[in-house]
Parts: sequence; C-alpha cells; structure tokens
Amino acid sequence: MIGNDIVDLRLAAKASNIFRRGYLQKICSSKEVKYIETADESYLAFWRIWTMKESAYKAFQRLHKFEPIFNPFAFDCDPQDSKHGNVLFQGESVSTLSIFNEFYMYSEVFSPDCQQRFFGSTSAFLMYLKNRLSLKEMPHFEKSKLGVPYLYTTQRNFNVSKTHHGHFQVFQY
Amino acid sequence: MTAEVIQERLKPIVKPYVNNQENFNNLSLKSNFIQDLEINSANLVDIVLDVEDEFDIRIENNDMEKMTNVEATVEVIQNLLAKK
Repeated sequence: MIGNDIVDLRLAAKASNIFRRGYLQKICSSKEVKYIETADESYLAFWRIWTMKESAYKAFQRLHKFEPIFNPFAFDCDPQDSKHGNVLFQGESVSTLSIFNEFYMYSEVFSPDCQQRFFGSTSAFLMYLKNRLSLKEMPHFEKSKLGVPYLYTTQRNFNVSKTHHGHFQVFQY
Repeated sequence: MTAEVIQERLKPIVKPYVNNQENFNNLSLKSNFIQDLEINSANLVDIVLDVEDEFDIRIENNDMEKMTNVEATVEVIQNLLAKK
C-alpha cells in the first residue's frame, strides 16, 4: 500500500477558499469538520485531513485498481496526534503519517515495504535511484491504464507514488 | 436542457480553475478535469459548488464522484435537472 500527497500551503491559500459556504461539507464528515473548526489552526487542520484522504485514495486505487473517482467524502479520517492517523474506506483502514511546516503539508500511507521518501525533481530522483540500486540504465515513469504511476526498468518495475504541488514534489517508494 | 446548452454554461464555471489553457480552448466532452485541464483536485469542489449555484441543483456525493470529465458532469447536471 503506497500513496502520498503534498500541498504547497502558499499556493493553496491563493487557489482555494476552503472557508466558502458548503466547501468543507462536500469533503468532510461532521466529525472531520469539528476537528478542523476546533483546531488551533483550522487552515492547517483542513489540509492535514485533505492530504490524508488523497494519500489513502491513491493507495486504495493502486491496490483495488478502480477507475479514478472524486469522492474525498468516502475517506473517513481519524487523526490520532499531529503526525499519525487512520483513514477508513469501505470497511478497510490504513495508517497515515503527516509531516508539515509553514510551507507544506504532506501525508503518506504507512507501508512496511515502502518507507523511503525523496523530496525533489523527477530527474534528480531517477538519477539517485539509478546510482543507489546500481541500475544499468535510467529508470523511467510509466502509468497503468488507470493512471497509477510506476517505475520501469528492463530488469524490474518499482511501485512509486508521486505527488507534486506548487514548489514541492515527493516520491514514496 | 440539451447537453450542448449545459456544456456552454459549464465552460465559464470551469475556466477560472483551468491550468492548461490550450486544452481548455479545445474543450470536448472527453476532456478530463485533472489530466487534460490540469485543474487542482481541491478546486473540483469549487466547480461542484459553482454548478449547484448556476443550475440551482443539489449534488450528492455519489454524483460528485463521477464528475471527473465534461461528459459525466453534463450527464449529472442533466439528470438532476430532469428530476426537478
């Protein structure tokens, strides 16, 4: 299970008005709305919930191979503390890890097999992997028919989740 | 309301959130909001809310989930208008 999501907080502040009437209710359960509204920083709390939902969506779509959907409401978030949380989707649950600072909010689905993350450009990531795994050739990104990314080399394929927003890009692998 | 009329009224709603102007200029029923028009997924919620206001309809989550391209969105709007 891999899935990750990052939000560039300065870009998001310009691009989305999360406090417009009806906005939160389209995405969040009443429990999640309460979590956001009672948080010290509601704005950060919203993007925490949002990135938890998106990372879980990516993980479940990769696992169950369903067509892309847009239904963040169906992913029920339960933050445990400022980093750890759980997301429930159709009776299945995943754990998430969230990292944030003043510039970004990032969440990823906890996966025992893919605990590494790389912040940076695609070319830097591919070069790094090539050297680290002593690959003979540069790996490159492919997408499955459903739009799920993976890394292709002639030797083997790798599951990689990729997220990009504004100034930030992260790979989980 | 015909699909063509709905599509025409949808255009100005979608426009402010588009990040790929070229694909927007060549908008078709098959245009995907995220892949083709490069609309941020957080802005899909804005489109849903703007569509509700424009057509005076209420979109539930099972309909919202389909609204990832122009064709599906037009269909959702058309069905909800027919039920009014």
